[in-house]
Amino acid sequence: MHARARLVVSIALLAVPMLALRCDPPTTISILSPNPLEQVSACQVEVSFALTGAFSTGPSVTLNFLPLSAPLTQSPPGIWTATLDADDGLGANNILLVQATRASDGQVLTQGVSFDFDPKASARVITDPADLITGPLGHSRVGDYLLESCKARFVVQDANQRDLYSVGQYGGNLIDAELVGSPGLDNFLEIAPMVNVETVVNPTEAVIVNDGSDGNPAVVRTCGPDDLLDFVNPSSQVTDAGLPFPAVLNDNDQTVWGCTDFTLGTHDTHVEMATTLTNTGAADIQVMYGDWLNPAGDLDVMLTPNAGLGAAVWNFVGTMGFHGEGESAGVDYAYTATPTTGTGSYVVISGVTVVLHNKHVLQALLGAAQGDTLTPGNSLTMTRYVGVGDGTASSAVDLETAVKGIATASIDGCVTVDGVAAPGSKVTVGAFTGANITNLATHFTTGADGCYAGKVPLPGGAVTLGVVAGRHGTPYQGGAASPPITSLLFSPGGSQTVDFDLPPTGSLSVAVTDAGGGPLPSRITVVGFDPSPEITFAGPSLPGFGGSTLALLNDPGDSLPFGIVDFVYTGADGVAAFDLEPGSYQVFVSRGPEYSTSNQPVTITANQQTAVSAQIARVVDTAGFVSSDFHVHGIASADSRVTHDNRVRGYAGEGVDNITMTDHHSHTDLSARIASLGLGSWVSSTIGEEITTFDYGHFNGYPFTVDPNVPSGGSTDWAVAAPAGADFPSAGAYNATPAEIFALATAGARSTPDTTVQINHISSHFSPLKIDTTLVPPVDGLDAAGRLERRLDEPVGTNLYFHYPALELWNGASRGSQGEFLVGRIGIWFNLLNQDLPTTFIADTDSHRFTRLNSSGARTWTAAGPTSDQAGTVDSGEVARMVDAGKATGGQGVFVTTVLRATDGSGASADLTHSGSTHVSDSGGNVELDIRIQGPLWAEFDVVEIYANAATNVIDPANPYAYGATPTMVLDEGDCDPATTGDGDYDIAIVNAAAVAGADRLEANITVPFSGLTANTWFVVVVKGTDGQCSPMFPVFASDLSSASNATLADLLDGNVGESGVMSLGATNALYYDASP
Amino acid sequence: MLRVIALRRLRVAAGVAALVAALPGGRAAAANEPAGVVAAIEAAPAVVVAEVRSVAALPHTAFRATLAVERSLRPDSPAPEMIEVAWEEPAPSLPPRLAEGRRVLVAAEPLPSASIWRTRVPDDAARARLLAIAGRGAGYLERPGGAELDILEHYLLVGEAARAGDAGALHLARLCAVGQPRLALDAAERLRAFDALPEHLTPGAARALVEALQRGDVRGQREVLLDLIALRRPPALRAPLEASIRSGGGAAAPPVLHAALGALEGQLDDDHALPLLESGSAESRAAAARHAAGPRTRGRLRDLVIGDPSPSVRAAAVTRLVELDGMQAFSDATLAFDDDSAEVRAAAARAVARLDPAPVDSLRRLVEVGRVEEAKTALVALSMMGEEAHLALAELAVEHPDPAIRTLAGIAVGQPIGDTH
Repeated sequence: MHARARLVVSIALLAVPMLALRCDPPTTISILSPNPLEQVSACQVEVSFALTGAFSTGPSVTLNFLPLSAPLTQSPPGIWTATLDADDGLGANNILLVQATRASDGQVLTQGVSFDFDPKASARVITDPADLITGPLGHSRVGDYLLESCKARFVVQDANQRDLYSVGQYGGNLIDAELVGSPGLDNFLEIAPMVNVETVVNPTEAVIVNDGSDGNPAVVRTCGPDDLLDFVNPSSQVTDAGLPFPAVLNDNDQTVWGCTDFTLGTHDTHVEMATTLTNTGAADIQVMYGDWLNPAGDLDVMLTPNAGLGAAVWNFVGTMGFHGEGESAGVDYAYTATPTTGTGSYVVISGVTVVLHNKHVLQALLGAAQGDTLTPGNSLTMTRYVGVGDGTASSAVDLETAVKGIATASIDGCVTVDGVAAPGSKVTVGAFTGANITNLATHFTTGADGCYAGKVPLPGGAVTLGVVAGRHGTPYQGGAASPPITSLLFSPGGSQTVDFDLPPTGSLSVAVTDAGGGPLPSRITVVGFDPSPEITFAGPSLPGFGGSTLALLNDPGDSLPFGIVDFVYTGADGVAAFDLEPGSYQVFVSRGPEYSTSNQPVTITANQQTAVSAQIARVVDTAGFVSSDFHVHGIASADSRVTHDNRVRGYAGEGVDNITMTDHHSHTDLSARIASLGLGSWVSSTIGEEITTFDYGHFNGYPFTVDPNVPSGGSTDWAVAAPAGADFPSAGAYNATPAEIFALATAGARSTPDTTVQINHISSHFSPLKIDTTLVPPVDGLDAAGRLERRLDEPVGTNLYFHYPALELWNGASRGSQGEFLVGRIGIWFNLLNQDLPTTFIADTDSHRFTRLNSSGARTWTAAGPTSDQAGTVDSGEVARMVDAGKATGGQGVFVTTVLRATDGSGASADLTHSGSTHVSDSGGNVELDIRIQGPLWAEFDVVEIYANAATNVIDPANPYAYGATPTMVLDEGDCDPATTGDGDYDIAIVNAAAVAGADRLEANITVPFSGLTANTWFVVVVKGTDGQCSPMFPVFASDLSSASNATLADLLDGNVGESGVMSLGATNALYYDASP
Repeated sequence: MLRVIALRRLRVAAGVAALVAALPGGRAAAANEPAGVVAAIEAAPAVVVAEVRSVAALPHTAFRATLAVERSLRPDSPAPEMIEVAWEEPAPSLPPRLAEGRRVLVAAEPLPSASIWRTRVPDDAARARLLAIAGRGAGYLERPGGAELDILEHYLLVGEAARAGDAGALHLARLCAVGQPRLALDAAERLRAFDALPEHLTPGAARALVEALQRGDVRGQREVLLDLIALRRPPALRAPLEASIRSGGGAAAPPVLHAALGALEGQLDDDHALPLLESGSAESRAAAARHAAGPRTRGRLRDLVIGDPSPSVRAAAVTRLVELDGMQAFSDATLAFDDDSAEVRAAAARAVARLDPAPVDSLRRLVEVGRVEEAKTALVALSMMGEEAHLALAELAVEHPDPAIRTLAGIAVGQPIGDTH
């Protein structure tokens, strides 16, 4: 007899006499499920039993002779249930015993059941939309492949799914992942097997190798040839620098066939990815292999070795952890690989990560590393692991130590704030020197109970490590300025428990109203110094390069500007509340440059909420114009993590009327989020796309529509699809030229009749193509090698220059971005105007981040009709038409408009308005230029530059394609102070705009005559606040304030003249005097 | 005729049933399981020599073949008259590894239970007859020769413990010497992983290895063997190596033997190396340069760096020069920094980088004032070094007047490549 059957029988024999000899009412224990000897193949076992009659104690339940760990619930009375999974002690064969003491005689009754537990992983083609993985980056669709274990679900996209979208250009790759029971959190974009850096496997076939029904891991396989990953092309940068790029890595169409087996075990939370590369040709090939990786979502990053929080720009391959923050809290992803033949490392290219498993990637790019030789007919296999977890970076460490067999110790503990559990707290374990941890071993985010647990890797055996904890808006332990280190010896197999109790914190609530007393979406900015600042240190790279700063507790990639402790955007109700450490601060309420600000000191006390009310008002008259940020990135871009809700709240709070979402290779529609947040009266959105070539420019199209059938939403295929295996210049496949890109964008399947295109951050277009804009017409200077390197097929002599209607001359929120506009770009624009090529100047932010307050940067106001000049009534098509017409003005802080009036009595004028014309003529050649400058009190200005058919000049001999310009006339107000008059070329007035304290604006109206004009003449006006004369616009525009001269809160509030920061700047588009109408 | 076929099918079915019954339970092979032919043969429950009677394609790049079994290499395993095996090819354009009419050795194991095999062979009975080529398809040899079959048969006979000792080393060394190329290369790789090789390499095995070193028909085997000699330094190899060099005419002996002796000893004295330097064979000169130790040979390394016509000799010379003299050889090593050959420049960069951090300042100076090619090689060398070098690169990436050097230095320290706006 089977051993388990014997056991059941003997239990039954034991129970029968105990039950049968009693009188009524019967007193029994009945196990309702599972059935005796049942084989449970589901991932969970439903346990149910009934107690009938009176019992004095119990029930007491054991599974495999250990107390049941899962909670028992009783409903209805007398029926008990519990749900067990593999973590509750289930084995392949199980014995469940239920005991209770009969009240009548104190007899202990026992009932038992034996059952098998044999759950299985599965693989299947998704046919039911309910199987789809959802979330901010949930891209799975019916027809894709689902791998499902008892703990996690992964989706492999179907093959043959070309969609130009970051690393997700081809199908057949892992695109979504979630834990079972945690839907709606997908923040994972894609991972693509890489061959020789510039190419990837392009799967043309997907098949289920094992559906899991045999009890073995489920396996999905995708296979295909190699093809270019079109959006990256590092060879052009290396060859431009004069070093021969390794031919093996450069657009190298190899005889490679790649197959990836995605394998998921029954209880796994990670997929094993084993990619086999086979040489199908008759000659040897050289291969460097790895992955293109882009988790992409709203995720903090931890990368080992040499670890800290944040994305080091390069590192060796240990493990990579990406854990969700904010709206994405509760999910994390891990990536690691088993050792290969060389020193693997990764580097960031164009915002995404390329991992090279068998070579040092930087040496490979510099030609100092050779690939592995793969002989004809032979294969090699690289094995990686991608995991999904519940939101803590330590999942990645746990995965790496498990797959590599690295020795570990265990650690657990809880974080409390003044004795209360503190979910979302951070705990870091790492090597330390003195009082500083500078190399993280692992990192935790506490769960809902405030607790954490995981492994500490010990590759070198026992070691003493430091443990620290912190929480946003909360003092460090002991109230210190840095987290005190708990030093502990960790030994292989050992365990440590470390609890933290952080001091109590305070909070701030703010309610904002407008001039009419209604709620106003706004930004609340806390100025001062964080008593518990994030601890940062240099990563594997060094200062001077972005992304090299790592941190102890939180990813510093999107850090607050200096002098800002915290900020928050209110909702449509104008209200916000948030934790703030005890201390003294100044609270500013703002809503961009069209509004006044309110500020007041606050003192935050522990365990108390401080309430603030504020009223601000519109002070700048922009009637007839709507403001847009034409260049905005969010979570759909590979290099941005800003969620849609944060984008909407942020722009509503900054008073931008129209958010044009221009994700890289992706069409994003924010309208549903705007409506959901109740902000439809305060902000509108336009669907755009930044058409992102690697090395000849970014082209910004809008408005578009969204294709719901592809993850990108219908991106513009500027790289031009080619048959699988033939997407190489050597096979006749080339990228679209700038002219072709314009045609694709304006006449594509997702274009609209009004779609227009601007060239973004224009230096990345004019310089690499060597376009000389002083030539008539402008001509590119790219030689044949340079064209081929950029995968362009037009022969030398065929002009690559194409005249786009608009140029993004100014993108950003910082002093640096203002400098780029004025020093190296403005002359390119003027060169075009000087040869009668009308071109619209665009100012916007190119905003990728949130916490750095980039979205409060430059913006463009376009002319609008009387029914479309409000935030809630923006007409995206009209906005694009006004861009094409040049009826726009740009600025950061000041709003500048111009009118060019004829003086011959005709009454004719040119202006930037919707109904006006930008051209005017005068029979005598005499015109007057009216300049109106408006700004809030906090956006001081003094200098007005007028450019009229202005001369341009090369700024840097090393870059002869960038131009500055010399103003035709400069007017200086004198001292930025409206109170002093007559001290300069013009005066500034203070104009009250509303019955609210501080609701005044600075305004200047200037008229400048120009006489004797005999040639066509264009006029552009630039208005500036001079550094050292005017105050920077801190904290509304908070970047770049000097830290050296601002050591106290009082320093921060003293006007900061001459202490760097962002100065006001505005510039109009051109008005034209026509000499021959 | 039909009856004959039917009877044959019956015999096949009965034989396979017996064979499969003797096999352990089926399982899906792990994706990263070792795929070497020796490992597959060693682990497979059935190893047969057979003739391929027919080959048929199955869906998803798989094939099945019917084999007429000649004999079994495992005496404890039944040998049915006919068996059917299946396997996957890694790419659809590759021909099936078993060709009709060919005599083969096949190591077989149970067909994986993965569901794709139900798709490929829907009929349960037909699927039950199928075996899989072991080692994810690696367990086969085409046209196996008598010598290699004998060695393999004995190798399987000696048992697992003996395979980890003298017998295992001997059989693998003999396979290196006489096996067909795929088998010989795999045997060499197994030997390279043989931790206790110095204790178990008998004189007979050493002679076989020396024989294997001189094979010219096994691509990659020579490099593996030289690598294992340098790694394991088995003393038993010295005598047969020296004997072979003597019998080969000393300096005129095959260069690989000199290279092997250099790898074994870690050096070649002047008596040995100087004649090699006079050789017309670049391989011989490279062996001498790579392992130069005596004062007269060392004295000629600089000349070799700048004067030898062969890039491999110049690369070996610069590598050895720096290895022997450290920073004292720095200026001589930089003579190779603008060599016409990328192989030589890379070797010079790697050699200098191993001196990290001593040459950081000198390399930085070269980047700042050297000729363009020198500067680029110096950058590559710095990119291979540690913290001080990275600091230098970071500064060069910001400060160097040449924008191309700035770009390269930036790439070398991980400056993000490409426009991230």
